Amino acid sequence: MDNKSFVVYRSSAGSGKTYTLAKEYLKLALTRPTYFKHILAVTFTNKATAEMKSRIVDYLSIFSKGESHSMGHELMNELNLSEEDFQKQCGEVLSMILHNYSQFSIATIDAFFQKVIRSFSKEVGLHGGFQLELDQNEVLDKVVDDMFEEVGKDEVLTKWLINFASKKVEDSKSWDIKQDIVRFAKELFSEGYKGKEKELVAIASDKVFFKSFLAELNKITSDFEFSVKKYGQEAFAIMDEHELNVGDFFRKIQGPAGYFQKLQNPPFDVTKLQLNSYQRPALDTVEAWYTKKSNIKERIAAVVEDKLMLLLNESVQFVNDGLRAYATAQVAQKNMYAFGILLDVTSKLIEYKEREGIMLISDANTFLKKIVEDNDTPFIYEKTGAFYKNYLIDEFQDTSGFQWGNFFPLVQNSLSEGYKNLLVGDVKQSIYRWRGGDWQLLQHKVEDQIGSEYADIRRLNNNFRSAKNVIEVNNTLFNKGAKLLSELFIDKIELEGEEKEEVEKNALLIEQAYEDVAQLQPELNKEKYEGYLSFSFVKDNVEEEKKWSDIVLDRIPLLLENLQDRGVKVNEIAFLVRGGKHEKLIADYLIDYKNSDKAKKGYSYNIVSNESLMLGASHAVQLLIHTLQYLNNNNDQIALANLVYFYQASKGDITVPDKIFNAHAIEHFLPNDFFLQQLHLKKLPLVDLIEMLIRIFGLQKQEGEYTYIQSFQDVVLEYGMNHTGDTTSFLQWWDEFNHKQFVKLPEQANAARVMTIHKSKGLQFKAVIVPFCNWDIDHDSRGLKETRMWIDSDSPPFNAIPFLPINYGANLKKTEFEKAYYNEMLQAYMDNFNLLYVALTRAEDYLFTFSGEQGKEITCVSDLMFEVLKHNYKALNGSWNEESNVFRFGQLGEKEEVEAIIVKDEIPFQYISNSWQNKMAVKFSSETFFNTTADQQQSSINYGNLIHDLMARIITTDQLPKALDAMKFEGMITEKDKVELSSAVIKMFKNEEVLNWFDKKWQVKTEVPVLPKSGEMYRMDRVMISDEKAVVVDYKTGVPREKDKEQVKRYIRLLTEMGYSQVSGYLFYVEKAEVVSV
Amino acid sequence: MTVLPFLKQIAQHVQSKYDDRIDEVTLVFPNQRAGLFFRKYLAEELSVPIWSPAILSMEDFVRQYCRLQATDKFTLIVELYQVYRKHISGAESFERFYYWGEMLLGDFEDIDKYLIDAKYLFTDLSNQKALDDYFDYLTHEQKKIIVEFWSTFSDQSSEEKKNFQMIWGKLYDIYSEFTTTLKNKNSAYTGLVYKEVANNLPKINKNQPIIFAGFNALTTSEERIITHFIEEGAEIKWDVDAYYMYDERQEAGSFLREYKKKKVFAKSLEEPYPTNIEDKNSTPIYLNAVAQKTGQVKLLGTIISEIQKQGNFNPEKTVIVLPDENLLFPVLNSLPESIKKINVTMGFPLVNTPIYSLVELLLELQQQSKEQSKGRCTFYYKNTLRVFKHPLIQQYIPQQALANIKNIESHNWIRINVDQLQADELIIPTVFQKVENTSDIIVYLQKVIGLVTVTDEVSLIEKEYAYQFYTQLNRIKEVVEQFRLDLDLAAFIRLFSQMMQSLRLPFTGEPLNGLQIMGVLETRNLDFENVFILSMNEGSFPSAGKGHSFVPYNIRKGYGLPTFDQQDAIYAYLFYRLLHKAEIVHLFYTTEGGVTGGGELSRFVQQLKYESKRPVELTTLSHTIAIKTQKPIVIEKSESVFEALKKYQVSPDDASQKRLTPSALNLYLDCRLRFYFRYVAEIYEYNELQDQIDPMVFGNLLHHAMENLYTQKRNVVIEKEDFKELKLLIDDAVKEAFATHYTEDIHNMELEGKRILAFEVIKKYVAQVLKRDSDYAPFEIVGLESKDYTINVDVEWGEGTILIGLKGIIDRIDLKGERIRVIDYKTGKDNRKVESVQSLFDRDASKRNKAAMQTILYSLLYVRNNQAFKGAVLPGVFNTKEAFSKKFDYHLEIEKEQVVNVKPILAEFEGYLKDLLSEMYSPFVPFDQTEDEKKCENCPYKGICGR
Ligand code: SF4
Repeated sequence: MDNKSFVVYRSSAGSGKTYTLAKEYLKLALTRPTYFKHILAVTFTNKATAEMKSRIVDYLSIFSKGESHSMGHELMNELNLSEEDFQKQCGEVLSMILHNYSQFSIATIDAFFQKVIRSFSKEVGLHGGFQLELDQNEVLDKVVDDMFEEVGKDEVLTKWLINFASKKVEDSKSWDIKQDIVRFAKELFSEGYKGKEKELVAIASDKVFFKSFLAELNKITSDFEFSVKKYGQEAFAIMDEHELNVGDFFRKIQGPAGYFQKLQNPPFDVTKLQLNSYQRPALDTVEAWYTKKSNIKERIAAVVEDKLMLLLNESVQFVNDGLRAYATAQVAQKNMYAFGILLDVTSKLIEYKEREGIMLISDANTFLKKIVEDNDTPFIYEKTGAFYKNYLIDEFQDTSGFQWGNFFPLVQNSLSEGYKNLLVGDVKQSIYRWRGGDWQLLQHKVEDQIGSEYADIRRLNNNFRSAKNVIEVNNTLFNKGAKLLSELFIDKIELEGEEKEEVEKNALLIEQAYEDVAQLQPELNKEKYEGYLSFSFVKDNVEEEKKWSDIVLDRIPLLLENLQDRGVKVNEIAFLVRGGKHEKLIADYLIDYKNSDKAKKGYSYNIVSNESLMLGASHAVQLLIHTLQYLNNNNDQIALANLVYFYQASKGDITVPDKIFNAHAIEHFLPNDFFLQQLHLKKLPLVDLIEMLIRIFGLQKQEGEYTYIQSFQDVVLEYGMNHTGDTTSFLQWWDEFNHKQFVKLPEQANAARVMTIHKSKGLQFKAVIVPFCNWDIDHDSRGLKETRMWIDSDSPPFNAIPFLPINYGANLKKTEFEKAYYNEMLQAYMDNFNLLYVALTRAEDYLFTFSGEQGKEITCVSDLMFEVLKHNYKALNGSWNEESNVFRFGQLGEKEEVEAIIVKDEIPFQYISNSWQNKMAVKFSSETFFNTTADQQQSSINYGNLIHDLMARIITTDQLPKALDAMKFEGMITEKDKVELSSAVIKMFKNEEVLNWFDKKWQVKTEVPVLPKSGEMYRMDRVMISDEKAVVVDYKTGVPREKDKEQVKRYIRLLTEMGYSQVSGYLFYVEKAEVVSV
Repeated sequence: MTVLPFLKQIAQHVQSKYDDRIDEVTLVFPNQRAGLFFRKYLAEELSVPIWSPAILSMEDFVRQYCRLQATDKFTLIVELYQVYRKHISGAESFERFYYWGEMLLGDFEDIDKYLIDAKYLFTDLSNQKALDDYFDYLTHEQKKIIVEFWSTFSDQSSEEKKNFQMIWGKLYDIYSEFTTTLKNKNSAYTGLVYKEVANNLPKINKNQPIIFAGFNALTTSEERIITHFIEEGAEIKWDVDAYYMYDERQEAGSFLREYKKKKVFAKSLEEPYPTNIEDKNSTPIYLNAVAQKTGQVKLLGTIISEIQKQGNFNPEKTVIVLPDENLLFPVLNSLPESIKKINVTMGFPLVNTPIYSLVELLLELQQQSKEQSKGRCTFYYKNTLRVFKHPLIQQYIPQQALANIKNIESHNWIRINVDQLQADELIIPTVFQKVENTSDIIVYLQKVIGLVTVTDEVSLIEKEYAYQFYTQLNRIKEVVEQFRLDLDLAAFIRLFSQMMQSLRLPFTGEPLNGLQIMGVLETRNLDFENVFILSMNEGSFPSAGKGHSFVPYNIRKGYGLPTFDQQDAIYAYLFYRLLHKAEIVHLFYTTEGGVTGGGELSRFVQQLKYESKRPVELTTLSHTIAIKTQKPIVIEKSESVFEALKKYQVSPDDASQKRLTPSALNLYLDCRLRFYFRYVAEIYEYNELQDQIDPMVFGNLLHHAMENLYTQKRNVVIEKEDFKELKLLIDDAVKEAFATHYTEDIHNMELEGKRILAFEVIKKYVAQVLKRDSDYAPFEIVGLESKDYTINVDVEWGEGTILIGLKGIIDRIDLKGERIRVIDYKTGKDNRKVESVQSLFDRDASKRNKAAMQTILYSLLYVRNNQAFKGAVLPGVFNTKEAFSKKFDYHLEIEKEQVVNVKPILAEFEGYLKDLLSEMYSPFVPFDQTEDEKKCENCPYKGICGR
């Protein structure tokens, strides 16, 4: 047995990770036709799951047909199989998989965990039918609303909320605090919080404790402020006494006197409470208190020597002594109210989940933890019904500590039985820390945990993806870049001695992560095009007031043209950006460009982007939404104006815009049908309503909008499946979540892709453009986005609460939380550097980046690039253009004649939309169920019809009770109805004639159809047969009508045709129990 | 078509074999639907009318032989709960049990259908090694599996294991008591009926011809029953194809291959099997990949209409199969006009119907209603409005619905009493009454459902939904009463929504004509020339299936209970069967999944692709995307625009006309187009009724509170001492402001939730202003929210000039000595610094001080209207931030100078004001969009501008 059965692949970009994973999978699966049932391969997304599955199936199909493939050869050798056996084995495994597909276990972590939890739900006390709620924010929104309901009932909470809200008003912010709370409450889903949830909830319930904790913090800050202020005041009193003011002293406000002034103005900014270089000498030098030319030198010197210098020393001493505690209390205070409220939200959330029978995706890990901790692996398998021996986990760098914690026992069990397990990942591509991903697992933790006797660490060194030049530049860039980055980090550390060393050591992590960054180009790729890179560091154009980013945008269309000239197809090009904002920027720019006269014939400027092509971008969708708004609320004039505008826009002619905004002439600008049908429209269910609107507004003719309309209809459909489907709620939901609704596109669209770097992970493109390659290395330094850290402090009094929410910021350097601060900084550095790595390693042949010029310091990733390239371009044999600040490497490909791309639709697609109401044939049970007159309100049910139904179920009188029971079970009648119906029928039996019909002597057919040779089928209510004799009875409700008789006569004819010689017919009016002979 | 449909073959068989006594034949099919088609085929074979033979589904057939009456699921679960509760201490509440009840019931169904001895199944074998003695009927393999399962209990004992064992140990007792109770009541679940019949096989008349047809997977009891009948002379007919019969791998044939091995069935499964599927190896199967669900549906329509154009399309021989039932209505809406008749046979989820949404709304309305003191109750506006806006209510009482919506919104009523509603005779009093206990809730829902669906305007489909709800509710009511289930509203809602989740409205398309739309199960035994299957995705076809069971997988396997493998095999058969006789096959699937997955091609298509010789032709639907961009909107000053603009023209001395306010001017400076929309085209923003207080309402409430507070003190000198008293009035003043805003009676007004917060925060602010005022006292208030100040400005117009009216409502004017202060309260980010007077009118200045512009304009209004006053007029801004800061100051600062008197700058100010109005009325300056997109952020018209 191979002891090293725990294989960890540390891969790099383009190193054939998926290939390796698929191969390892197959290697295991090919041991036995059904062995695949024992392998669980874990992927990161649903998409990756589907892809992996189809890849495996494809490979097997290729191998089983004996087609030549490199992996096939490798496998054949490694498995020691003859060509024939290999082919046969592949065929068998393939058909086993295809016919036992439910056990073909390639899944996301979440899907697998769900499965386990479901099978244990009864035992762990979960609501059995719990729904997994994926949209946590939607839940949060409701829960926070629930919490607001408590205002006025829960005194402490009310007070906090009032404080919180007042504070905002005092800061001139909007008084509404809901969004703040919702934003903050997202922390509830983070793993950090989850880990401490129990303890925190306990604290939350102890309001007294929480309050006293708050009071303690307040005391620290206010005591400090009070004392410090006193120093300031004392100094000023002295100055007053000697008729001196700040202006008289050296450097005025920046000098020593200014320091005293600062002391009088709490709250203090702790980063600015140190003496500056003008003030420092004043501690021991009298001359440092005045300017040389001052004509009151002597007076100042006297006071300084006498009092002020001493006072300065004392106050500095005091400040230094108390600063750390003060600073710490200050940052801890900042989130305290919100934190308190958050704890209330937590308990409300628990209630909500219980009430609604839902489980949040973020809870899964917690439940699983309990299951996995308590139970041995075999029992888990028994309950789950899945029996895995091997685990293959992909994208391991993005796996969270919790997730791994839950896997670990399973993997351990497998290892102990000698089975192989496999992890694949790349620390350098770890960019999902914000979702809990912990790259240090892959870096070292897992290895430490499993033990080196099991672990077999392998590296994948080849880069199959990129051209030679791309590989070379990236090798240098990231190798040198990582070193530079770790130096940069070390520079930032303001600690001393041991602590400094401790933090510094962490910087090594960056270099470790990147030590294997250098990649080789595999032999077989060496013949190919060598690739081309260009990194531009663009200066702002001051004269034309153009920012560098505007200049970049202007270049993009030209770049697209240029690439197309070289034979790169537009759908082989990708723009990679940081976030949705930039996506939109590029999308908007190119759409404008395409429609402008600058666009050149024969080039495509089309782009698609899953993220930025929001549904709301479509005029047709806007039109539909505004119509819904208007229908939902006829007083909404703005909706009406929008509706008119988008209707006109959808028709493409807005020649007289002023007229369409004339509220009084609206009718002329909307289709007539819309007004005629308005009332009818309001009565339609959403799905039908949308279709109807599509017809009314002629949207089915708007080809360019098809994708949008379809996606929108999907949204409506799915909404209706998960929510109360009325228009009001839909609109409300849309308002809040429309920005998350995107067009669904098939991959093959003829357009360049614009996507976030995060989404591009795992993908590759012939040409990659990173138009705004300038994100910060640290967390957002402009403070636009708060980064929250949860800190477990060990110094009193801050450790009274095990977990404090603290905002990341430079002021933490002065606090007890400094180490946590540096740790977070390092992580941020890694995140952002990794992001650069992911972005720059997507390219096959062409890579372009743009960013602004470097500033004074290295603050963003492009600064790093600049530094490295500036010093290494020569060694790389690249060129550096000083003038335009561009680094170039390699030769652009040859110009090629571009063939015009003709896309032909296989089928001329039509957007068919027709009304169906009059076409549908369905048998209705309700047809006669409800009274059609509103006056018989007491019972909405029509007794006549019930009796009709009842009679059909009775052949002989004794069957009455059973028939009544059956009707009751079907819910048609209640116990009360049963009694009434029963007595009504018994009354009927009093009629001799009727009673005779129910005699046992007859052969009875109730509602037995007669099959005529052609045409309509007849179903007579009741026919009694005895030899040649046939009696037909038709039950009727309501008043006798002439045509009733006609019907019975038709029956009599039919029966005669069937061969009965004595046929008689009756009508029986059930309400009055009246028999009419026909 | 060369090959006859399966049912047609049976019809011919019946006709030729039983010619003169067809009506004596009994035909048993797996489901009802097959019978309908069979009848049609049979009729085609006849020359004279005859009585139809008896045609039964298997279930109905078996029921005939049993005295037990299968009852509905809800009753069964309640019944089960009664037993369960006795055996399990600390059992959960009923509504929490419901899910487990469903699951247990499912397990019992299986146990009985598969004739498993429950006593042996529910044995705890963790401590017994005596398996061999007990279970000699199990095979060695089965025993091994079971032993393995129980061996996991030997090691440590976790909480979960204990829980499992605890329940497991009681299940046999529960099972047997449950079945006994049912039997005593003559009722049963289906499995029990099957078991009874299988264990007491009926005596039968050998002369009566019985034909079983179209079966595939039989449960043990079904197999035993059918075997019995066959042994007594009945016939059985199978519908099979060589493609999956001869290929051992094909799960589609797995059951049938087993039957072939059995003596009773062997003869009826005679070889050679038909080779219909492979016979068509030259005809491709079309596979259509589409990104969206709706895309599938629309493509389906397109393809049908294409085929129609080629001429040989017969709707009667066409089926559209919907594995995803939610696509029903999209499909209905997307068929070509030329399809005139549509026949729908499938279950449609009741929870997706409009009636259900109304029911949900009603339950929410009840849940959020509040009992008032006098036994009356109030309803929350959100729910109330949604009820009135619901299509079914709109349908029923359109007038009242609208009137009530309008009333509630215009009065800002947050909680509504039924007296406040404009009522009709029936529906409103019915809907807006408080119901508490379970039966009342049910009656309540039934009444409303009955009422709203009574009108003729309600479509039959909706009546059908209503009927289903009505009957379901009847059942619940009966059971609830019978078992005295006591549920509070919340529990009822939880229970109700669980019950509804699984309910399907059984559409049955009758009579048989037109194009067929069906669910997967409904296609059993039917053959069509044209087959269209949507949602060929994993999870839809085969469906993900619940397959939940309390019996673990290996135990099920060990004892021979069905597992998901069987389920998958049944689906496989259903899929391949559809290919038997089809000429044209189009499959559709979505390529893009959602968050929960999807987007994976169905295994069946993959099987075809990799294994069959039939070509699978893939087409991917993609549309070019031509998204339109918003063009700039520019409104030129056309004649009609000028006409509209003239509404602000005034004649001297008439104060009552339409006038421009400072906010209008500010708006004009911010964005000319926005001004146009708001003040020229008069497209007003609709202020939605909200219980959360937006900044504007917050500001208004604050103003009114201040006004209320000082009205008493108007025109008298307020001394420092007076503030003691004023302070005591704050509460009432703020309350009054709220009462006015929400049109509520101040004495009965109850604030709740967020409104309390706003209330408290406003109080704080008012108190703070009072503090500032008391520092300033003594002073006299001479104006509060004064509307009576207007001025007219002359503006060039064509050759001459016209007068344009301005007006303003001044928050407060006070007088101290020779100084008038014109004060504006601000809650936003306003500050008091002004670069220069000119900057107030500079629309490009990024931080143009709107508050200053407004206050100075107010001051101007004051000065012009009080020419006699010779003292200083001081414009002041009280803003929230400063009111609380230590350095309270309200003076404007222009060019860093405090403005202590506005008079010196008025001339300059007026000059710019005139320029501004001239521009507004100039024919050369159109109303265009602002360049600064930041200004669009809160603009209500940004939808139109696309910003
Ligand atoms: S959206 Fe912007 S441009 Fe359009 S009207 Fe509003 S403020 Fe003006």
